[in-house]
Formats: sequence, structure tokens, C-alpha cells
Amino acid sequence: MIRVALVGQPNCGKSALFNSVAGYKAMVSNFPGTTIEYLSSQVLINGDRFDLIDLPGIYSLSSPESEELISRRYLLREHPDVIINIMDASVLSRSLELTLELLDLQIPMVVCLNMMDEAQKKGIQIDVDHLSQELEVPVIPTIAIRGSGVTELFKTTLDIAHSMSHGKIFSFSQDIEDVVSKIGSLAHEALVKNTGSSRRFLSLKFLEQDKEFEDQIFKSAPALMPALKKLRKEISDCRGKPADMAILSERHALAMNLFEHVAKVRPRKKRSVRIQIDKYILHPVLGYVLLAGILFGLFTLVFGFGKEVEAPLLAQFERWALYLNQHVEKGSLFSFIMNGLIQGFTGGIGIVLPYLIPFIIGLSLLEDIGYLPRAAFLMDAIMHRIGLHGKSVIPFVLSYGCNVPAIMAIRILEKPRDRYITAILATLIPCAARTTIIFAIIGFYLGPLYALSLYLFNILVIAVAGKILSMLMPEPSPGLVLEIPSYRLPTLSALCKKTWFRLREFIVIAWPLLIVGSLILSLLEYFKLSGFINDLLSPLISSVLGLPEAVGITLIFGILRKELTLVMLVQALGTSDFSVVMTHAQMLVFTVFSLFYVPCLATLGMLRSVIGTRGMVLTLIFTTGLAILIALFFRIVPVIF
Amino acid sequence: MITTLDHLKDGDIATIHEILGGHGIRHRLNNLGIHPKDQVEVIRSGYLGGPMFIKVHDIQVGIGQGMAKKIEVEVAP
Repeated sequence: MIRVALVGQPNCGKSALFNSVAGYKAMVSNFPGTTIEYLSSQVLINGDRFDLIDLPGIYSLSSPESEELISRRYLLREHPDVIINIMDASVLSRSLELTLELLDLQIPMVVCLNMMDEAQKKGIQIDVDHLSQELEVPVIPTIAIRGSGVTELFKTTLDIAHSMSHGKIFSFSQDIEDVVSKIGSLAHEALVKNTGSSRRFLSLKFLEQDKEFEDQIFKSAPALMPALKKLRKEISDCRGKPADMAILSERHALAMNLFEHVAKVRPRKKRSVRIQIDKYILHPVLGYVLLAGILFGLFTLVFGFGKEVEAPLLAQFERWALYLNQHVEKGSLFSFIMNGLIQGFTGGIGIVLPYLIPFIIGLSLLEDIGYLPRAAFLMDAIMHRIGLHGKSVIPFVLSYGCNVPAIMAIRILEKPRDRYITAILATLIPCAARTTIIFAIIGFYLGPLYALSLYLFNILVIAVAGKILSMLMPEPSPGLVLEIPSYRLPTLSALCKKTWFRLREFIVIAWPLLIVGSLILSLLEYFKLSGFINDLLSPLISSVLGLPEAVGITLIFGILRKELTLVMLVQALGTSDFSVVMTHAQMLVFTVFSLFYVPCLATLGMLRSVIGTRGMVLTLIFTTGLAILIALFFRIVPVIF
Repeated sequence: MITTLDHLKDGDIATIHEILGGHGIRHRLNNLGIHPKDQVEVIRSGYLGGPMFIKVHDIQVGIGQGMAKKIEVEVAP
């Protein structure tokens, strides 16, 4: 089988290409030691098997941020058989800079010149044959989002894998080349092997002051360092600028030169309509009105639709469950197991069909059109105050409906750090289920003003928690630099594929958890273990929080699904009038605790998939600790006043 | 006249003169396709400390004011 790595700059249509050929067998895999994942899929194209690896988009093979080096590490360590370098033809000159770096790796390569239609719209005419001659690798024009050119691309990939031919290595100016070969000859075999690269690549990365390569040289050959640094200084002295700048501008010049050789740009007279649109969409006043409208629209669409569908859907399942129950002995172990399974199963259906599908379609649409980076742009100043990226606003808003799609939306953030913090904060936002608890207890017994204050208090807690978390995980970069791609028309097939990929994740990861969890709770009930659980939790529930011991079990059920807390509370306390058994102060403590503690099982499942097991455990500890602290605060404060 | 990018207004066009920041900023901007001698157009300047929206070649970039301060530009008089 041929291992093919897809490498390209962000927004070049790499995922569109991957999705257009990968079947539903695609798997999310993790790089060891990191939380960034890549997709890999075994595909059959024209009868040939390929192992396709969709690497995260990168602008170049040298980035100051180590997270962005994931793709480079993969290429150096795993040496794929062929690289498919996807280029966005509409920004050809910039894409060429990455291509030049990839050629230095000496791995067989095919160039996929994608978005040819976009380039034509921009007035860029590319001579494909000429480009192929210059690079000495095959160049296949494609429009991946429509699937055109893809078959030929893989046919060529197969040929290249067999012929193992490399492309051309482009030379820099003589003075730089001299230093490059001097450094190359100084580096011994073991060092080159350690880095997984070639002598040339190693030399260039050292000249670019790449931290990872410098560290590696320092580790395996510290004695070489002074001589190498002296060579690097030669370049900076001669060029009058740091060596890395010299290399970058040489590469830029090479790419520009190449671009001028192979492409012609017809100047357009009229200003692009898209820029005009952005005047309104990013307008300092109108832009925010529109953003609020779009977020509110997405929210009402998802949850309005969900509510309409969920009730009749669950009622239907209820009827089927009743029917099944007629045929088994009531109160038997079997009936408990059966009902536990049914509950977990319908719980999943209750989330998936009504809420997830409209949400995923809505989010994918916003993503494909290109609105998400613009929303991030607008929200950046505000989110920055709590140390986050503007894009985090989307998971936050969605969280008020349901945490599960919110956690899923965290994938739109690129950096693991931002994902971590946003994920933890998003789970603190009261979802629809927790909203019912707040309304039914606080709103009903203490009044709507208390309920509203609780919401405001929640936002305050999130802002403070965000501030603390971002201080614990400081951001290395000084500010926002975000490419804002042109608007694009989404296509139905890409939308469907994306929706399916995301939906599948929930079905495979979160749903089984829900079913198993519900089965366990059912067994707890059968074996009458709730008293035991209450005893176990009593130090926390009654001693620390000062709540009736009987509510312990309700919080365990709340982990399965938050709305169960309320249902179980009626059962545990033996009355639906909570004021008989709980004081107002106790109600406040109870509600605050159930608002902040452990997110529900489905959310935990998604957390594990998005930010890894460690992240999930961290969230568990953080939210529980926070819940105890805040509940304790609410217990003590009324006593003082 | 030489100034920094954050001082430009909506619709201003300038040429990038120098990138003042360190290794990290140089690489990040280079990666996005922003180099000295490139022409930059401000589509929307930053408000209330928020980022600004610029266009370099055919690439549109949102850039925070902290970063914009580090880009020296030359404006035609």
C-alpha cells in the first residue's frame, strides 16, 4: 500500500480533497504526545489502495510555533511514499514558497493545483505544463470541491510512487549556497539521521534559526555549535540582516520569479465585490449587529427545530418502551437492564437527530462560506480580554443550547491551548437542561430576578476562570494574525460529507458512553444502591455543602443527563414541593453546584475526543473543584449577612 | 512618509518598509505572504483596540494592533 501525505497551506482545499476520496472509513488518529490529530483513511481509487494522511494545514515548514510543526514532524519521521502538495492556485506565489521547501525534503511529490476556478476569477492564468517543467514534478489542476481532476491526480500519484522521482532543488544565491554546503559537510551522519532530514534541509533550518533543529544539533553535536554559528554570522554580516531573513527573502524571491514565469495576471478594473461585502460584514457597528443576528439565528434554528422534533420523537420511543415493558416481568433484573439500554439509546437519539444535525449543517455552512474567521475577527478584541481567540465565541454561544455541539465546534480553533481553555469554559455555561434546573428551582422558589442574577454570575465566573486559565497557560504570540479567506460558495456534496464525518464522531464516541452509563445507573437502581451512594457522598453533600443527604444520588444521575437531576430530585426527596425539604439557601447551593460540576457523559465523551483524555480529566477536576468552591461560597455568604 | 501600520486609516495604501519585530513575527508574517516592499491596503482599521483588516497581494489578513505597530510602512505623500 502506498502512503500518501496531503500537505498544503490552510484553506487550500486539502480537506475537500480528502473528503472527496475518503470513504466513511476515515479515522481520527493522534500523533503520539500531542493532542493534535490527523485524519487517515485507506482508500481504493481506480483499483489501487492508498493510505491517505490528511496533515494539518501549514504555511511553511518553519514556524515559530511548535504546534504548527506537527506536519513537518510527520514528514521527517514517517517519510511518506509520496507527498501530494495541494496549492491554492488563487494565491499561487505564496503557495510556491511551501512547495520550494517541500522539494528540499527529496520525497517523491505531486502538485495538486487546486481552486483553478478561483484563480481564473481573480484573473490569474497559469501555464500548468510550464510549472511542471520548472518544478520537475507532475502538476495536476483540480477543483477538489467538485471532485474534478481527482482521478487523474491519484493515477499520477501511483506513477510517481513507482518511479520514485524527486523534483528539482532550487538554488539560492551563491554565497548562501556556499554556507549551506559548508554546514552540510560539518554535520555528521548521526545528526542528519536524528533529524530525519537531508543535509541541505538541516543547514537551511539552522540558518533560519529554527528552534527544533537548533535544539537537536545542540543535543547530538554541541561541539559543532560555535563553528555553525560563525557560518550563520557570515551570512548576516554579508547581507546586513539576520540570516533567517536572508533565507526567507531569497525563497520569496525564488517563488515570485517562478510565479512570473508560469502565470499571467490580467489586471481587473473593477474592485472586487467581495471586498465591498466585507465593508459591511466587518463594519464596526453593523458587523456586530449582523454577528449577533447570525448567532441568534443559528441558536434559534438549532434549538427551535430541536424542541419541535425532540418531544414527539421521545414520545414515540416512550410508547415503544411501554410496549416492550408489557412483555417482561416488571421489576426483574432483565427489565431494568432493558430499560437502562433503552434510556441510553433514546437519550442519544434525543440529542443527535433534533439538535446535532441542524447544528452541524449550520456550522458547516458558516465555515464553508467563510464567515467563521470574520466572526473571530469581530470578537477578537473582547475575547482577548479573557486571553482567548475571537473564534471561541461560537462554542460559547452554542453551549447555552447544548454542550455537546459546542465541544464539537472547538475544532475550529487551531491551537491546543485555545482548545483546552475554551473547552473547559464552555462546559461551565448552563445548557438547556441546566436552564430547566435553574428555572424550576431558583426561578420558581426564589424568583426570576435570582435566576437572572445566577446567569450574570455565571458569566462573571467564566470570565474570571478564563483569565486564570490563560495566565496558567500563557500565549507565546503577541497578537492576532489571521488569514481571512475569500467567501466561497458551499457545495451540497461537501456539506453532506462534512456533516456525516462530524455526526459519526458523536455516534461512535459519545453515544456508547451514554448507553453504558445509563445501564450502570439502571443496575444501581435495581440493586438499591442509592442509599450506599448517598452515604458515600454524604461528607461532601451534607458536611461541606449542608444539603439533605438524599440529594447525593440525584447529582450522580445528573452526570448521565443534566435534566435527570430534577426528575430524580422529586423521587429522592419524595415531594415535588422542594420548599418543604430545602431552605432557599440550600436550593441556591444545590443549583449552583449542579450548574458547575461535572459536565454530562455525552459532553465528557466529546471532550475526550477533542482535547484528549488528559484534557477531559483536567476538565473534570477543574469543574468539580470550582463547583465545590462556589457552592461553599454560597453556603457561607448568607450566614455572614 | 514612514509610519507604522496601525496609524493608517480605512482605504489607505502603503508599502511595507520594514518589519520591526523579532524572529517570531518575521516568520509569521512571511508565512502569510507579507514581506517588505509589498503593497498593503487597509480595508478596515482597528476600532477600540480591535484588530485591523488588511489586504496584501490578494491575501486578506486580520491583524491585531500590537502586531500592526511592528510593521513599518511608507505612505506616498
